[in-house]
Formats: sequence, structure tokens, C-alpha cells
Amino acid sequence: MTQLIDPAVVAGQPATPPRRPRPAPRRGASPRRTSYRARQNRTGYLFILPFLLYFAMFLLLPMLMSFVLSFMEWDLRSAPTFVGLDNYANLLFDPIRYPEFWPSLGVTLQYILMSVPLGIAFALGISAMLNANVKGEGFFKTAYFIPNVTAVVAVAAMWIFMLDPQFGLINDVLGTNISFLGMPETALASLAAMAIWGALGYNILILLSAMKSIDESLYEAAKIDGANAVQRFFAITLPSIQPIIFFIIITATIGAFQAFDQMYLMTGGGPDGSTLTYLLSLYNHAFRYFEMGTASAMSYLLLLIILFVTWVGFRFIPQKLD
Amino acid sequence: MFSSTRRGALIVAAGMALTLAGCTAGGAGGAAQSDSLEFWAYEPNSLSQKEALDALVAEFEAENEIDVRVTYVPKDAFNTKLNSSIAVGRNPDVSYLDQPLTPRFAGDGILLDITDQLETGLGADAFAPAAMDTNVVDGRVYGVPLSMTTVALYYNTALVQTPPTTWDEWLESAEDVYVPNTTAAFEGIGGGGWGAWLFPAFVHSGGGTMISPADSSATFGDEAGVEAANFLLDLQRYSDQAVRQSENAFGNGLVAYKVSGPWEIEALSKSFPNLEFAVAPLPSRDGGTSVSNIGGENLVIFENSTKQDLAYALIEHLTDAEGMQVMAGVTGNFATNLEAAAALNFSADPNLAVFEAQLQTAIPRPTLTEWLKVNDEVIGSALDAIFVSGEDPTTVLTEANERANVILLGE
Repeated sequence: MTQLIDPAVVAGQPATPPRRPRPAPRRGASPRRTSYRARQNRTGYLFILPFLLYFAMFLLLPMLMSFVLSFMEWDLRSAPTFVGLDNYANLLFDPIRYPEFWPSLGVTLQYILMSVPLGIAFALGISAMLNANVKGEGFFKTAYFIPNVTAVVAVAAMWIFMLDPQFGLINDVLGTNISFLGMPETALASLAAMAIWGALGYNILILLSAMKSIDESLYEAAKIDGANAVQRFFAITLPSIQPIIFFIIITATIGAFQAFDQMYLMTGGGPDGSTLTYLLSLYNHAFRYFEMGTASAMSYLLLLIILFVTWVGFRFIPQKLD
Repeated sequence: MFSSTRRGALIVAAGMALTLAGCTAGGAGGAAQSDSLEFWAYEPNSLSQKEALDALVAEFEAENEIDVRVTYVPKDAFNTKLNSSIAVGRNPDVSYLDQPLTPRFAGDGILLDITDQLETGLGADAFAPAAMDTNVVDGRVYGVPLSMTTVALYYNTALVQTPPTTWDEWLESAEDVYVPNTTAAFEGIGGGGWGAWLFPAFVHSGGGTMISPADSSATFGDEAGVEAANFLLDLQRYSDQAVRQSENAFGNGLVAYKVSGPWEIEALSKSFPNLEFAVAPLPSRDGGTSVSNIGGENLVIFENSTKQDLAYALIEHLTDAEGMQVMAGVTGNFATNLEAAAALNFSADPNLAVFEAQLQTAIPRPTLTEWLKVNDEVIGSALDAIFVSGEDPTTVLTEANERANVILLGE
């Protein structure tokens, strides 16, 4: 509805004075004066220009190019040929030519199921203990974070030694001679254990800071009501950090879908394909067999899978403060 | 007049265009069009090896009044970088190339056919036939063998006094040395692509072949292949997994036999000074000829090189009798030039002499464009299924043979 009366007049204030017409630009002056906001915007754009260039050149452009490549057959050496949806169809439905596609996806899902829930459970438990005002909290936080700042190759060499069937620390402690990395039954679980250990410090840091931001008065009230430590953890701590747990679940799952380093360095995908993850298989197609079209199609299929899993996460995992 | 958003987009687009222009400038022909001759080589293991190659190249530069730009690339990253350079047309004129990639590159039409130059130059007869064969596709030559290597049988002399010459003797010896959870008879041939590279030696030893010479169809799933797999399985029965899969099991004296190349001699001697070991030819099934397989690198010229004659001259300089003696030291492998090999006298060292003799009967990998994929994905996976998961060799190899034919022949 058209407003006929100035609201300021109704409120007993003087009516808004009519705007004076802008003076005509002087001869020789700039036809359009740049406003402060526009100047600010321009400065802002200049500041982010390096990033935009980097993003466009090294992320956006390769992403678009690999999407186009996923419809091509290209070995880097000869001209790419358009094959339509063949790369996608062959990966999904031709187990003779691509026998490792579905098994590698299965291996990756197993790896996620092993590493993500257990990783979060361990991180939650340790964070809760560190949150109970233990002495030397700083030392423990640093100690748990060390794997995050250690080179993957060094970590891999250390675990190969620890898992050795004859001289390894783990077999020594267990009193066994198990070839952990040599048997399909134990190889993936061993790598998952290593991943859990490796990610512990990062998860603890995030969970602990979330726990420390919980209002102390909630705990005090619960204590007065007679709640013990376990009850306080499940009734106060856990619901209060739900958004953070959700964040870790999503990022850890996406990270596990992209598992590559340990498998490449420690098992090469063996024994008998038991640690051949999706990304390692993708790498083989791209940089060993130089099937760039197939590898690009695999990366877009992985993107779809990750988007779907993330959507499921958003749909079914509680993510707001209870 | 532009809105600020539109102006920002234009700045980004202009920046991208400039960067793209910078990236693609000189792309066509690339290095092949520069003034100097571009040569890519594996990064040598030591400074002295690098200096030796630099000196050899400097000789060529002085003789031909040309600047040769040598780019050293680590071996692990070499194929990826080389393929990427080809994709943007900035490949070198001359390059090392892994043996199994030579037929693939030749099939793609990017290697120079040097059949005629070789005939009028050094001649194919100047080189070890098995190494030379890795350069031949459909009767035409696409490279010159730079270095070659093979595998033989290492044995722990504290556990084995006389090395076996037949499969039966090897099995008897394995039974003798085997001590459960303490001493394994054989380290195994390993899994994946590496195992698949070693497996042909056993197939050929048993009288079989990997492919049919007539139509290039896979034959490794035939009787000889199954027999070779069964023999290796028998050896595995005297080789507990927990012992043979320990790190450096042979070096630590836990394993009696190991199949490997000459590069292990120095490593074992330095890292395990107390280990007593020797090398013997690979046993054959029934005492016939000992057969092994061959690996190594070739030197190739790319079709788009604008200095093809100079490029070939460089290859001759590196692989003639004199140059090859230096290159054997640079690569750490055996000389492929027969005159150079004779001059280097590898047979003075008893262990190297075994490898040199083994090379005389070594068989190269099939020169089929898709062989690398078959090696890794088909044969490697099949061997894993047999030796790791205990599946039936006949069933697994028959299926693998069929899969290989789908890839090789499109059947």
C-alpha cells in the first residue's frame, strides 16, 4: 500500500526535508565521483585478487578441465577423443576392464567405518579426561598433536617397524608373530588404527575447546542434583558439543574418502587389494596407466558420493545444540 | 559504465587470460624448438655418477658445437613429468624411457623411428638382443637400449651350501632349511606389479610363454603358468608368512632364498656385514636352460624434435662402446653394448658374473601397448589371489588370461 503520510510527522517529529537537487558537475571535473563504498569495494577486490587468481587458475580451471576430460579418452600423449559417458559407464558396469572400481569403493567404505567412529570416540574420551582439570594438560595436548606435524613418510616408516611380525613392538607386546600388513584380514584395520592415532590430536584440540566453552553453572547445577561424572558427560557435555561432533564427522568422513598416503607408502594397495582405496586406484589410472579420462570420471563419481554422504549427514546427524 | 561487481569479474578474467597466455606461450614445440638440445635423464644416485654423465655430455657439446641442456628428474616422478611435458608440447628431444613404455609411446606415434639411422650407425647387432628387442615394435626400432638388468637367485650360504639348479632340488632344499616360525625357505616373489614382473621368469623356466608370438594373445594361464604358480605355492609352504614378511628378512638371515637384482649386492654387503650370501642362476623346471627376465631403460628421440640428427648423434655418443662404459656406471646397471660389456669385465666379480650370464637368456616383457596395465591389474591381482588369499591357481589364472585378452585384443 502506498504510504501517504510521513511516519516522522505522525511521531511528532519534523517532517523529512526534501532532498536538494545535486549541483551540476563543474566543467573539467570527473563525470562521476567514486563513492567511499565503491572505493572500499575496489580495495577489497584488490586484496583478494591474488587468491581469486590462484583459485581460478589452480582449482576452478583444473576442476572444469577434469570435468570435460571425464568425457574424453586421453593418455596425455595423443589428442583427446570424445567418448561421451563411456568412461562413467565402463567404470560402473565393466568389471573386466575396471575390476578394481567397486572393490576399491568397498575398501574405502570399510576404512571409513573403521576409522571415523572409533577416531571420534577415542578423541571424545580423551578430551573429556583432559577437560577434568588434569595436571599437565598442555603436555598431553602437545603430545597428542605431534603426529599431525610429523611427515607422513616418517610416520609410515615408524608404523612399518612397529607392525613388523618378527621385531615389531606390537607383536612383542601381544606375544604374537602376526604379519599385520601382509594379511588381507588385518592390513586395512592396521592402517585405520594408524589413521585414528594420526588424527587424534586435531580432533582432541577441537573437542576440548568446545568442551571448555560450556557454561560451568550447568555442571554445578547437575552436581547439586546428584549427577555423577558419566551422567554429566552424557546429559551436558555431549549435547552441548553436538555441532562440533557433527563438523568432525563430516570432515573426517570426507578425509577418509580421500585416504591415499599410508596405502601408497605402506602397502601399495595390497595384500590382494585389501588396502586399495578409491583414491589409490584413481592415482594408478591417472599416473601409472595414464588414463586421464577414466581418472577424471572417477574423481567426479567420488564428488557425487561425497556430496551424497554429506547430505545424509546433514539430514540424519543432529547438528544443533540440544 | 560497469557496476563494481562486473568490474571485479573483468579484472579476474583479464588476470586469468594473462596467466593462461603466459602458461601456453611457446607451447607448440616447446623445448624441442629451443636453441639447445634438451635431454632428460633419471637423477643419478650419487654426485660422481652425475659428474660422469655431465662430462660425457660436455664432450658431445664440444664435438658438435651445440648446447645440451640436461634435466635430471627423480626416477619415481619421471614418467609423470615426461607425460605432462608431452601433453603441453614441451617434451625434450632425447629422453630415458622405461622399457615397457617404449612400445606404448611408439604406438602413440610420438617416438622417432630410428631403424635406418641405427642400421647405418652402430647397428642393432652391437647391443644385447634381449635389450634391443624392447625397442622393436612391428619390426621397426624406436630406441636404443641404454641399460639392462635382470634377477637371479640369492641364497644364504650359512643355510644352503649348494644352490639348486632344478625346481625339485629347490623344493628339497626348502624342506631342509625350513624351521617353523624361525627360518623361511623363500621370501616369495611379492605382490602386485613387482610380482607380475618376476612371474614370467618362472613361466618361461617351465617351458611356457606370457603371450602367443602369433597373435599376441595372453598365454600365461596355460599349463606352464599354472605349474609355475603351483611350484611357487609349494615353496611358500616352507616359508611362514610371519618370517618371510619381516623387514629385511633375507638380510637378517631369516630366509634362505630370495629372487632379486644386482642392486642388492652392495646394499646387503653394507647393511648386513655378517650375512654370508651368494648368487646363482634361477633354477629351471627340469634342469634345462635357466631363464630370467629383463628390465632397464632405453634412449628415445621424440618425433617433434627439430634436431633429430643431433639427437641421434647424442644417443650414439652415449651408447657406443666408449660412452656405454661410462653410462653403465651412471645407471648402475649392465652395459647393453656388447663391446662395452666385454671391456667392463663384469665376470671378474663372481656374483655379477652370474647376473651377466643370466642376461644371456633373459626374456623381455611383451612389447604390447597395454602390457603394463595387464602386468599390474591382471597378473599382479591374480598372483595376489593365489599367494595371499589361497585361491586355486588354475581357476584364477584362466580367468586372468581371459581378462588380459579383453584388454590386449578387445575380445
